[in-house]
Amino acid sequence: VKRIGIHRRPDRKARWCALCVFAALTLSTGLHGAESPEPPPPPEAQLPGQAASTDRKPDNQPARFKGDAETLVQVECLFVKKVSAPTAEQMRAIEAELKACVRDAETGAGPSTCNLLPSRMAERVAKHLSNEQVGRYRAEVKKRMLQECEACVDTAIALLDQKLDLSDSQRNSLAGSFTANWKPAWSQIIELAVQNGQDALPNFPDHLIAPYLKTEQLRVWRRMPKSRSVDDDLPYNVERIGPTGTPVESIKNQ
Amino acid sequence: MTGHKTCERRGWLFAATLLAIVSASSNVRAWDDDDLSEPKVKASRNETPRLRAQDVDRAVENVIFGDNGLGSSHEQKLRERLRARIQQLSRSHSVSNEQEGKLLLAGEGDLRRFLDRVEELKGRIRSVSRDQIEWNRILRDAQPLQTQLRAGLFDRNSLFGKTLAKMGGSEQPASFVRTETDRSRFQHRAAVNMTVLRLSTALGLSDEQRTRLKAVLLEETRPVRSLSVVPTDLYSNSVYAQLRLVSEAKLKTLFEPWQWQALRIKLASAPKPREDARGLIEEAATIRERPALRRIGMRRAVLRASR
Repeated sequence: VKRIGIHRRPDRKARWCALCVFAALTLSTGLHGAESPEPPPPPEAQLPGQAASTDRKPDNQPARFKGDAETLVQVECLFVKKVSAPTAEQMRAIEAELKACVRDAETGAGPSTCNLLPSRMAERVAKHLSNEQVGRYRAEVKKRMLQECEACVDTAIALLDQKLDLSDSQRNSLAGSFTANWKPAWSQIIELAVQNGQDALPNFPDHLIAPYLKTEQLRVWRRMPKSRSVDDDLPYNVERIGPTGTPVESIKNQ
Repeated sequence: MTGHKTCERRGWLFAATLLAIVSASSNVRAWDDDDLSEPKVKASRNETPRLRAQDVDRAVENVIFGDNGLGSSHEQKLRERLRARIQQLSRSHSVSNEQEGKLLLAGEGDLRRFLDRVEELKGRIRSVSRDQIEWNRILRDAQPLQTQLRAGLFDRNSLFGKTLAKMGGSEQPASFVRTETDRSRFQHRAAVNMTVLRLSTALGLSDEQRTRLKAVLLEETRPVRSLSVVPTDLYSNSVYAQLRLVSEAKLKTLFEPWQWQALRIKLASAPKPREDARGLIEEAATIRERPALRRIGMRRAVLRASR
C-alpha cells in the first residue's frame, strides 16, 4: 500500500475502494439480474381447431410434392398390389412409372392438379398390366373415387351441420346435391380440414346448397369461412392423407 | 497517522454503505415486476422463485383457450356461443321463451362452473416453482379443461344437456332427442367413412375390404358425445382411437397378412383413447342399444323419443 502511495492520499484510497466495491457489486448485480426470475415463455398451446390454414396456394404455384412424392407412389403401389396382384417384374415397372409420373408433376412436365394427376397415374399403371388386371384395377379405382367422395361429402355435411343445425332431410338432400356435382379438389380441401382440425369448407356454388337451406341457415352459410382454393387448378397435396393414411415403413419395403 | 486512519475508516464506511444500498436495490430489482397480490416475497437465493401472476394466467388461458377465436374476453365469447346454441335450437325446434330462459340459466351454470375451474387451476399453479416440470404440469393440469372446452361445455352431462333432455321428455316434442340422435349418427358415419378412407391409403384396401371395415367400425365404435361443436379431427380421431379396442378376431379376417401386420404397427402408435377424452365417446349407445346401458338416463330419453 505504501508502495503505491495510497497512505499519503486517504481520500483517494477511500474512493478507490468504493469504486472497486461498486464495480464488483455492479458486476454481481448484472449476473444476479441474469438469474432473476424471468418466467419461461408460456407454452404455445395449439388447439387443433386453430392449426395451419387450409390449402390456399394460388393456382400458379407448382404442386406441393416435395418430400411426399415417395409416399404417394407407395400408396398407389399398395393399392395395385392388392387389387391387381401384379408379378414382381410388373411391380417394379409400375413403381418406376409412378415415380416418373410424380416427377413430371413436380417439374411441371405433367399434370399436377387434383383433377388430373390421379387419372394420369392410373393410365401409367395400366400400361404395365394385362387386360384382365387392368379391368380389375380400373373398376377398383372407380370405386375408390366413389368412397373418397362419400367420405368427404359426409364430412362436409357434418361440418355444415355444426353451424347450420340441419334436419335429417336437409342432410340427405345436401348429400345428393354434393355427390352429383362433387369436384376432386373439394375432397382435398375437406381432407386437409380434417387433418388440421379446421372447419373451412369448399366454396360450394349457391345452386348446390341454397335450395335446401332456410333463410336464416343461408345467412349463416354465407358468413362461414371458406377455402379460397381454386377448384379446377388445385395442386395435389400429399399431406391430405396425414399420418393415419401414410403407409408404415415395413409395408413400403415389402 | 490518526488522520490517515480516520480517512481509511471513512473510506471503508462509505464502501460498506454503498454495498448495502446496491445490495438492497438489487434485491428490489429482482422482485419489482412481481405483481402477486400476496406480500413481496423475501426469498433467499435458495428458495425457488415464483411465477408472476399474469404469466400464469396467460399460460393457463393459452393452453385452455388458445386463440380459438375467443380473443381476450373468454367469458364473453363463451356466453355468445351459448346464446348461438340456443338460437340454433330455436331455429330447428319451436322453443318457447320460457324454455329458452331455462336453457340460458342452465348454460350459464355450466359456463360459471367451467370458468371457476379455470380460476382454481390458475390459483393452484401461481404458487409453484417455474422450472420446466412445472410448465409441463400446467399443460397436464389444463388438458382436461381444454378437452372439455373442445368437446363443448353444453354436452349431455352438463346442466344444459340435462335441461334439454328434460324438455325432450315432458315439455317438448320428442323431436329434440331424435334430432340430436340423428345428428350424432350422421357425424359418426362421416367419421367412420373418413377413417376407412385413411386406412385405405395406408394399407391399399380393395373395395370389398373397405365395405367390411366400415361395417365393423359402425358396429364397434361409438359417436362423440356432445351437443355442441366438436372439431372435425376429434370425430375422425375418436373412431381411429377406438379401433384399438376392437377385438383382433373381428379385424384380422378383413386383411391380407401383410396389411394386418402393417395395421398392427400403425395401431401401436395410434393415439390411445385418453382418460380425459373417454367421456367424449357416446355412452348412451345411440347407434346400438346395449343391455348393460339400460340404466343410463340418456338412453331412456332416446328410447322415449323413438317410441
